[in-house]
Amino acid sequence: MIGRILTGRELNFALRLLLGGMLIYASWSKVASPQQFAMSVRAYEIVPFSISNLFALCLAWAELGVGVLLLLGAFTRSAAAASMMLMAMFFVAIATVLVRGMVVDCGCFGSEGGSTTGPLLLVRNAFLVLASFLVMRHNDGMFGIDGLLRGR
Amino acid sequence: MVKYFAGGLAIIVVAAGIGLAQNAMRSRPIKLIQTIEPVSTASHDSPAVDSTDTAKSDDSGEQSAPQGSVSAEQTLALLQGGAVVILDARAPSAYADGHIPGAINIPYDKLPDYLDVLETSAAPNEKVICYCWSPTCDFSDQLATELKLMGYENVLVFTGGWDHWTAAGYDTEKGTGE
Repeated sequence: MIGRILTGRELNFALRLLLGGMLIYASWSKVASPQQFAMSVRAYEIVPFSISNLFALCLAWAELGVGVLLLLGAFTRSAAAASMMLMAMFFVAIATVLVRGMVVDCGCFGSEGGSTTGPLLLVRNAFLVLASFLVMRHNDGMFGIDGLLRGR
Repeated sequence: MVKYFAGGLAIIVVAAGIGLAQNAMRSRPIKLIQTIEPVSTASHDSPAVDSTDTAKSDDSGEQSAPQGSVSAEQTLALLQGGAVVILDARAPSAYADGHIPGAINIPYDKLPDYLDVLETSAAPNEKVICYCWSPTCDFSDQLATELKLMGYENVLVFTGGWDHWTAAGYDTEKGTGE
């Protein structure tokens, strides 16, 4: 029963829209103000200081690109795999901050957000990793460019 | 499944490439590689020591202080001179409980939210002192580093921070500063 729900095309369509919309929203202010996003990246103290701007810029655009593709349903499974890698990376980053006893502004939604790192954020990211996995595994192109090209 | 991950990596690389190209076309592109060294005056090596003793050794032994670091006594002298802006890098709750008189609260971990406050408080050509809790606290160093990246030319760190200030018995004030 649960397996059927998780593999259902309606749920996967909804998860695709959720992930795509969220990634676009999250990336918007980061793309507009990469310098500010770089400050958030540096606060995690994971990425080497010298390349923190480069990393922040690339990450912001990666989120935007993956979000747009998911929303449009183009290269959907690959985009979902990219989303899964990004969300897993965020999960590890937040976990390492928690292990080190730090509390930093998560920077998740650029300058639009205000949440700090904490266990709840880990749970949210774990859900997003799972959602990305389900879309990668079961998306059938419903209401997306992939589906249109395949005649669905 | 491997092909999806390979495709995912390709999407990330292409999107990042578009970002780099867009940055190159901006009128004020961000600098991709930082060439300045991060400010580092905090110490995590020494065990916890009595803060009064540390304050004394800082005040008397300027030679042992890291470059760009000032003691409680020097901070007080600069504040009395008047030509300096002092920034408290701690959380707003800590700032409200007590801070150095005249300090502006710029919590390092929420810096992007406080850029407006920073810009109205200190011009890039002004002398700025950052402080946080104690010699083991990194926030003042990190705030000083961000200020340097933003073009502030004269940034100092009061490494002893709040612990040394109160241990020295100097004046403090409470409140949110609003």
